[in-house]
Amino acid sequence: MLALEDARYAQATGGDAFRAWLAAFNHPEARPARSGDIDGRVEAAVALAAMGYVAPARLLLAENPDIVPPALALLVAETAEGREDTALLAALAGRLGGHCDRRYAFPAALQGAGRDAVAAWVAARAGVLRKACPA
Amino acid sequence: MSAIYRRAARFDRETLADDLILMNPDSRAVVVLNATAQLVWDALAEGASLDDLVAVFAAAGADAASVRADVAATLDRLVEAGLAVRGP
Repeated sequence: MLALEDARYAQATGGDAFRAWLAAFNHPEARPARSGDIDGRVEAAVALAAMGYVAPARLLLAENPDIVPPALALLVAETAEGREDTALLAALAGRLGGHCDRRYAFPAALQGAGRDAVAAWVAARAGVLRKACPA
Repeated sequence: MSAIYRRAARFDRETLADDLILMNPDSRAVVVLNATAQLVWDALAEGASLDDLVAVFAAAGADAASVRADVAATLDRLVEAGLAVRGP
């Protein structure tokens, strides 16, 4: 999908990455054609969450709570802004220890991780995000 | 006389679910407006003062005193992002 390539290029070269990721997320071909198909919006949702816009990640989670990357991205973004979503953290830890959609890659260190381990991972990544994007 | 707010000459817009996403093509500043805040943006097409906007929300049943700060904050965000201009 060209929109996804454009977004990756904009991200890598200092272009208007927000706009490009938004276009990639909204691209008609990004949405799964049939139930159960790979969702091409996941990468864009994660990238937008890292820029502080979490609505796409929330939307994907509402449609498929078994996808791990948007949940992680959402938790990191919220933690970076000083917010805490204990319900999502608990739900994610539950999925990492049980059923989740493994077609979407997530850090191997989180495989089977419990709530505290996930919280520590999220806090560390939120610290990196805060340093990269100070308020 | 109250200042009149208007949309800037250049802006891009996208929608995502209930959000209206406004982008400044020059500075790349982004403002995300929820469904309520979009009423402010709609009104800026013709130009409106803070008092005008508060009156719109009050007419819809909102408490004018409490909505004033929210509307002012939305206007400030839009002006700061270069998506709206404040004039006489």
